Amino acid sequence: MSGTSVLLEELAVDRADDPAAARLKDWAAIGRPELRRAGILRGAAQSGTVLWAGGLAWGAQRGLSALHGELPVAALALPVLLTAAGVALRSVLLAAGDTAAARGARDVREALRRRIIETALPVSGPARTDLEEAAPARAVDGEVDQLTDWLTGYVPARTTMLLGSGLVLAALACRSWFVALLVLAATPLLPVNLKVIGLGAQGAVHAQLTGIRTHQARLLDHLRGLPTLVGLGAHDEAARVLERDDREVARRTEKVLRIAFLSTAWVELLITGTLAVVATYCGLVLLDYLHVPGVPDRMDLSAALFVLVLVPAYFAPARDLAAGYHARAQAAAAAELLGTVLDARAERDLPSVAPLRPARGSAPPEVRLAAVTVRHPGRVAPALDRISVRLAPARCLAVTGPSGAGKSTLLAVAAGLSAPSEGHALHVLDGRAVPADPGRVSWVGQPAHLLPGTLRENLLLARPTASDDDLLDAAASLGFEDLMTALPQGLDTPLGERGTGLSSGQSQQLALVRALLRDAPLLCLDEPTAHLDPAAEQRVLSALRTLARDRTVLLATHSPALLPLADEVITLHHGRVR
Amino acid sequence: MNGTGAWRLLRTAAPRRALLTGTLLAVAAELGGAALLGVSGWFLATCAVVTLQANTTWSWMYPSGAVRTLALARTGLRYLERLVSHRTLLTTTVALRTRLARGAARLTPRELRGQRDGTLLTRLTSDVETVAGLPANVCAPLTAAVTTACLVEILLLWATPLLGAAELVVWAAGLTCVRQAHRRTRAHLRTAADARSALRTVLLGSRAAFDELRCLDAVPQARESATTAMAAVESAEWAAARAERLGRLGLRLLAAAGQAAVLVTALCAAPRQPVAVVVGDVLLMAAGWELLERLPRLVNLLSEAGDAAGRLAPLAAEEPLASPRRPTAPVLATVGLPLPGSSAALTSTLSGAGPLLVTGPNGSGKSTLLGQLAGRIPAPRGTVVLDGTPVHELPARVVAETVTLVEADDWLADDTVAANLRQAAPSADAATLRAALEAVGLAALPLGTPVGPGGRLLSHGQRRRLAIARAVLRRPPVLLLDEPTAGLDRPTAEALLTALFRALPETSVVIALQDQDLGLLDRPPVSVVHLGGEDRDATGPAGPVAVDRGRGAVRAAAARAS
Repeated sequence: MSGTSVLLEELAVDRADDPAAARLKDWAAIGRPELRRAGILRGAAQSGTVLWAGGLAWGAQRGLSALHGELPVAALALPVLLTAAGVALRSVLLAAGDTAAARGARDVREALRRRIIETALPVSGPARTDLEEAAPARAVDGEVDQLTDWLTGYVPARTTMLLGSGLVLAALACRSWFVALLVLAATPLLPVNLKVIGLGAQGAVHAQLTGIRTHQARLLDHLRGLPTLVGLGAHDEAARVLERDDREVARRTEKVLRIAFLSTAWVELLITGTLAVVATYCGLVLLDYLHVPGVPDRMDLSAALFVLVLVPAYFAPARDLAAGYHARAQAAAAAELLGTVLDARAERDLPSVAPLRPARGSAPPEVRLAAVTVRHPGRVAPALDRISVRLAPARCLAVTGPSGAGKSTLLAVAAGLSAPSEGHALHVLDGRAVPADPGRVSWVGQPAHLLPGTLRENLLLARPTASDDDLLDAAASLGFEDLMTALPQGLDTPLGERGTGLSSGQSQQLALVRALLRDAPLLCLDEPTAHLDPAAEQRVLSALRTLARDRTVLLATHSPALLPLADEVITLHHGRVR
Repeated sequence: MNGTGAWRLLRTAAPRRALLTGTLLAVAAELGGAALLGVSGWFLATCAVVTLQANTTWSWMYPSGAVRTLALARTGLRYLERLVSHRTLLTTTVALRTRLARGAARLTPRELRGQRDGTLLTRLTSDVETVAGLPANVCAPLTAAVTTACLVEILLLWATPLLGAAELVVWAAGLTCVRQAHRRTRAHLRTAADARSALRTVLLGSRAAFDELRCLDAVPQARESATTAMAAVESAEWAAARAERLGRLGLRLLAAAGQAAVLVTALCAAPRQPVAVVVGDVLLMAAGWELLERLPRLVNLLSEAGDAAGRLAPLAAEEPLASPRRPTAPVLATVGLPLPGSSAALTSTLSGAGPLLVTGPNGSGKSTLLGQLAGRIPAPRGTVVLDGTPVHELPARVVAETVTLVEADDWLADDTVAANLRQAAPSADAATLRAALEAVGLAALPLGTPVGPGGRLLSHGQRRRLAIARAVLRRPPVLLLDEPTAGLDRPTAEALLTALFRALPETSVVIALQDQDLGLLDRPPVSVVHLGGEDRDATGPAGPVAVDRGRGAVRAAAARAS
């Protein structure tokens, strides 16, 4: 027992100052009771193994005693029953333990996935810009699953080992204290090596996971651009680059595995070696060849067989722990990557406790930008350079300027969708200045994004309580009566991934209907007519007149046709007002 | 067990020798493990018998040496087997993924568009890894377990036929149990895979549309649908794991029956069979059952690989061997191409200089027409031909030698400006790249500027112009531009079009423009295709019209079918 406790102490000290370990422990807390139950059940399953070994040894002894005579079946009934009962008991307890472990792991995974979804789609605060687009999907789909083996294998393994190996050791000591001493002496050889090898593996596992992540991002990018790459004749070259990356990742993986297998091999060597030593010792004692002072030299066949088959059983939990050790290193590496997804939000969360959710159709706010500067990572020149804007309520400001002057960025900052690097973006409501909040904004971007689902579902996002008539009325009030009638399935028209299935003009009109349904007091329009022909532009223009009534409007545009809408016009050039 | 597709894929990608070596090592290691336990038991029982019979001629040295050798051999063999199997896995993964990534280019543009976000990525990552994992995770352990079990069974049949027969019956029951559990697990896993793909699509889509969702206050709904998808994944996977656990429980309970049968039968036959052999038999049996416990898991892995291979099949079609022929004077022509949304047709030959204009309101099919000309969207057979062959039947790379299409929102690699330009001209020097940028009015953009994922670090107009600069570097005989000036201010747009024609004097350019942008051209178009619905009356005559000014080699004619 002491050897086992030493092992556990070592393991506990091992990771105490590791932030990933603390994080993992924190995450696993929700499933802890189930996981502990799993450990206890699996440990108790070893009692079944002890019964099985007892039955087997007993039966062999009976067989030996009847060496020269017929063995009655009745004499075998009890040993055989004991053997079968032992195996059955072990099966049932293991199944129960596995169920408990799976339940615990499921609780943990669900809680984590929910947190990632909440981080990826924050309801308040500025939208995240530093999180890679595919990272949350990858975290939910891949990295969370990397914790499963650790949760079901490693976490309960400590309890299993303590209880299970303890039970077997006690049984061993009952039949031969010397063999019990032997296996106990072999136990301390486990932790030292596990610790050393485990630490080495973690760095390599981390490098491998990072490599795979980078590689996946490249792969996704490559697949998105496949039609373009083929069209440019660049596909073969790109595929070659991918293959080179792939080989590099494979090389790293191989390095990790070499270390990982080494530790498993060491544990196996210890188990098989101890088995060989015990078998030789028992054989010599049975032959009566062994006469060493202090070492017991009397043993019957039943005791010898009993201890022999229990030696692997004693080490089995330690072997599982060794396997779990790598699951743990994998989990720790995944935890760091998950951490970057989960953490970033905390730093950028707004201090405001309760975001002000204005009622639908509330009074238009004043918009104030005070010396706003925005820098994009990797770019030297700021996208916006100390811009100050003051837009009175219910007025319309048009932002013009050449492409790339920072018009879209200015709108995003004013809408509270992205936080400025310096300066403040404020909305003034009834004389009270509050931080810009997208909850007050209707946003029509370029190109308009529609979600997978039906046309009705996309419109209902803006006002979930609206009836079909409300939706059609809204379209009609903007002069888009023919929009639905042009589509054979009307409101039931299915829209594919990213809203495909409609022309860009139709998408834009839908986005405007959505803005009207939303009825927010601040309207941000980013190139609302960029893809439209003059006829459609005229329709949008008259729709915008309706929309702009009693709303504060920010409008980024090139089109001279839209300028009459504006009360004020500013022109941006290289992030500055010209 | 639909593993055949997986095997077919593996045969082409896996190094066969390594596969065989790994399997043999696994078999040897498992046999060593089972023999270690059996021989040890036999050794102890023999020692007891020898002492009882006071037999002094029996030497303990060899059996005890055998036990130690087996112990060492098992460890070494296992380590080697793992290394070899996993090297096979990694090599196979790389080979398969490269081949399938190339194969993805053979999909039609429509398929590509539909799959590019979630589906194709899954195919090339987890599906490929599942198939490539077959040798290490399934093939080797399965062969080892089955071989060991068979050898143990043969040994039993040879030693005690009755015992062998009894054990055969129990094993048959065990296999039935595994099969049943497997069938149930499989159904649940199929549901789980669908749910996973749905979860990914919801998350990716919501992230892409986040700005709108946020302003619409619709983020909670998006969260809700993601959470629902997540719950579906978990419950399906739970059901699958449960079926697997039950299968394992059944198998273990059968093991209890099997071992009891061995013990009774073997010991009752004791006078005819030495007790030492009986002990050895029983321990071998126990080892065999322990190996068979893995069967449910292995069989499920095998099916997963089969499913994955099935999904990969469209990507794995054999590469056509015919080398792409380079047409000496490639001519792209349309013969009676029906124009979208109308009853008229377009007949035209695209060669030589001079722009062909395609105009019409939004949704009138300008992009579709350009897609058909580039072979990305299927046109009726024989209506768009490249040197006499329907363009959408040609391999995309053959078409690419003649035609380059710049889509309205074309893809940019998440790399630098220079890297994006070099896709079209791999060996171009910096001066060439700068000249191309200058032609599209991006001279101020440094070559080393990162464009960000999807080009998002650039403005909309910059993205568009960079994509055009890339196409200019390719110097294609036919260049198709979808609304190149959208999102640009008027002076920039005018300069862009003027520089474009100057840079590509030989190229036949087809431009889709909106009516209000027609004035941006510094030269009259040789031909105009006007697309439009029947309801158009403000800016032109109803129906598609081709204005043929009879310049150069271009001749376009569209006639109303009435």
